[in-house]
Amino acid sequence: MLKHFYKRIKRYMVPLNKGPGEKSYLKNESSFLPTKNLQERVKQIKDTFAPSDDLIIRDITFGSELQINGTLIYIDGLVDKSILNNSILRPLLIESREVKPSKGYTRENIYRRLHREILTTNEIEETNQISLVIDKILTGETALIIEGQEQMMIFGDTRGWKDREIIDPENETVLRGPREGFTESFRDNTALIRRRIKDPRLFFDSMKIGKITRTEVSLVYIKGLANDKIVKEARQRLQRIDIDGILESAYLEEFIEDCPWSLFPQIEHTERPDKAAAALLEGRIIIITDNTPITLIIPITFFQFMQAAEDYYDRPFIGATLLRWLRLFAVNVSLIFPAFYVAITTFHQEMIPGPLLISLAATREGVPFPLVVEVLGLEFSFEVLREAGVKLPRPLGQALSIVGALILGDAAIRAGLVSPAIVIVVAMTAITSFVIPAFSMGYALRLLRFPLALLGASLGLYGVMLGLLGILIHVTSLRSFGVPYLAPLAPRHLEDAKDIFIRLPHRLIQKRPWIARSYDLIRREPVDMDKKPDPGKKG
Amino acid sequence: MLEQGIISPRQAMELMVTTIIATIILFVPNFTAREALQDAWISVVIATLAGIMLAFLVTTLGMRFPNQTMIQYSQDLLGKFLGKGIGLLYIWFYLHINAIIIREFGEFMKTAFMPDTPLIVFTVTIVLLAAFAVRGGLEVIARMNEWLLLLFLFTFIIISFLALGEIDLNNFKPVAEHNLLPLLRGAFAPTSWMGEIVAITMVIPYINQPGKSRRYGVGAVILVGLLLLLSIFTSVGVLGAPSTAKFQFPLLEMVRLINIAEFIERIDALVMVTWVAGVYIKISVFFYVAVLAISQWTQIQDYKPVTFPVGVILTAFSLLIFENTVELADFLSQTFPSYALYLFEGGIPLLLLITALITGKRGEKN
Repeated sequence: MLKHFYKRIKRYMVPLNKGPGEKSYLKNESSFLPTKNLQERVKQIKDTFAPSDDLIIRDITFGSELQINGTLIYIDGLVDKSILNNSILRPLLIESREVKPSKGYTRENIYRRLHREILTTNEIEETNQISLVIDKILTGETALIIEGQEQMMIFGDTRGWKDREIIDPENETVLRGPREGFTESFRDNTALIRRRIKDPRLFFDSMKIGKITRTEVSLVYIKGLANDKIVKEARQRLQRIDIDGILESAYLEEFIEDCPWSLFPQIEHTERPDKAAAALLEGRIIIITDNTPITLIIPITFFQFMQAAEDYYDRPFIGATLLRWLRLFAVNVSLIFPAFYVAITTFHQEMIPGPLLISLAATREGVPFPLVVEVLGLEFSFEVLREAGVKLPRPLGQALSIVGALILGDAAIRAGLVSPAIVIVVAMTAITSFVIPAFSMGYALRLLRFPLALLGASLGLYGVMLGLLGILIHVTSLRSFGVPYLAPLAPRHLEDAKDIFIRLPHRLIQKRPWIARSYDLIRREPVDMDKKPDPGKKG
Repeated sequence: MLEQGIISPRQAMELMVTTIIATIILFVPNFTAREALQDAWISVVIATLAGIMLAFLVTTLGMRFPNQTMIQYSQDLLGKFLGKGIGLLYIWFYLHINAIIIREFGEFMKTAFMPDTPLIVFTVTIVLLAAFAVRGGLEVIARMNEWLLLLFLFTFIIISFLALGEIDLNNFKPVAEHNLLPLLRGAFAPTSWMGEIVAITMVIPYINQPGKSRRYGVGAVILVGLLLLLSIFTSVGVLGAPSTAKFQFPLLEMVRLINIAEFIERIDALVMVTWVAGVYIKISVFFYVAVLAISQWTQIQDYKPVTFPVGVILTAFSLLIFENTVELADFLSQTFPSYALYLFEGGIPLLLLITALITGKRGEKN
């Protein structure tokens, strides 16, 4: 029985001996031999695409006296028709008629001539490899095949499909700060970053991942700031991925993180270009994936999940520092409050002041369940409510919260099934768990709350401490691309702690964080730090 | 090498501080006050001076062989047979001392907090948890400690602050009433605890700057001495010398007296929790050192497979080693100091150092 499972698991663990990105549709290369015959070429492509009705094949004849046959191939819906019509079809079919053959047009140099004098598109590529042509057609480019030529032309300009607009990132809203979020369009996303970092050292290192989806993935970093070793490691891990398709950056995340079995996220994600740009400026690396607004940031540490983009736009001490402490406090509450409550009321009643103990005991009067059952049951039903609220369409969600929270909660207390104190405990943990800016971290902590509560119920505060120590062992041994997860607290690095527990004013942050392992640690020279605006000049 | 991780000298120092402080502030005030009464603090000063010498001794020895642990260089110094014998003795020592610590911990939890829970529950849980840390390696233990030591010190200093108001300086009078002998007897137990710094000889090859280990080793002992002084000062000051000598855990009794605004009271359970963290590090360190010593002694390539068997031995050992708490306390105060001090913490390292000085042997430097 166990052996059977082991075998099944092993089958998933052992990588197949196939290079990533292998194209299965090109299995018999012999049918794709280069040829000068137009009909044969078109047939090769047609056969590859099967009888698909969005593949458009347009035969044309152009040139004035030198009548040349050609075929345009593209995919409907992926190309911008106006560019195709105005910059390719029009010059070919109309303007080329006025060109005199006496100007030196022959069948041999036709490409050079088309390139230089007739076509009005920008990106033109020539190749005789049919696999490349097929790839390009699939990304919305248009291929032109000409009778009697082995080379084929690819027009990159024609890419154009319906995109979502750049809108406010819904999951990471800020009170102050830019309102732009990443979109599903790869190009838009790279442009959003390029617009923020106008430096030629910003580098996009793209590759295709996924044997069937051929998803564009780009490793973005600033050369000279990002640590080459981490860049190399990240690229290697990305290239090692062997999967049929990447539909969201989460697929990549799972493949490239250091400890895939861990509950804790080891890669941060964001849909805010300003946050991504800030990461790049610290010497980190971001990974943009086509078709998703979620970009990944590496390497990261635990405390970065406690930071929000807004921290850097607020007033440093009062706003951001206070908020950070609030969040750290909230994380602790959401993780251990139920366990703590169960442990204290079950094992260490002496810690509770007399009057409070009496009122707590009074609220529990008539409640039939043991305390831990009460807590776990209510926590569980809260999680169910939350999940239902996320999944329901928004108008229905309102109704759900009324039924679930108000009616159910109130009725449960009135019926004497749960005590009001427990409702307060569960509500507190619920609210505090929403304060954590990164929801992937929130999930981890929410899950760990249950075993901790059980430990608290069985061994008291000692049990809670055991659980916390167990979590600590795991978290300290985690690494994100070689960077210890709990840095800068363990291993301790005071220089970095100043941007963790407080948020110093920008003028005092002179170094890039050590945890990003940047090559260039100096962020700004301290010289002009103390220059204050001249009080003599009055506007 | 068996251990891939590298720690900094500061991490090693903090590891040693937690290792020593975790049990010293709980058990030793009672032992010392029994002998030296109100002059216990003088005993602690004497013990710290002796502890500095011990730290000096073991780190000097360790720095002579910056790439080897004691198990390895004892064979270079004394020959294969004698060296192996000494290695075996140390493996015994590390296992024994850890079994005692685990038992101390279990007895403390049982008597002070959860009298109805069987001892084996505490023993098994803490050993299991320590085994996971040991499998994580030296780096993981050192990093956890960086965090937990802060928590530990923070709690300890807060308690001491809260107790300051209750201190009656008359409790320390008359100063130096007795002659030197009781003071020295009182210094015996704390010195043997500080001698646990000998475990650093197993860690030195994994410090990235072994040359600094003497400075940080001595620093660790000094820090421990200061904290122990604070602990003795508050417990004798608040409870008085006779009570300190009577209570098994004076610090705990002191914490139980704390009452802030009629709301925060009886916080001993919270203090216990941070203490558990400290003892946990202590157990992990000796566990790790034992596992490392065993794998180096038997020359196996990976220490991880040894971890759980050693854990089982430790659990059984700690449960069978004493009949009851009285026997434990008796052993700790009467037998343990001379047993540990003369043989493992002072004697053998001194022997090795003298041999090294006479033969002029030293390890390669990298």
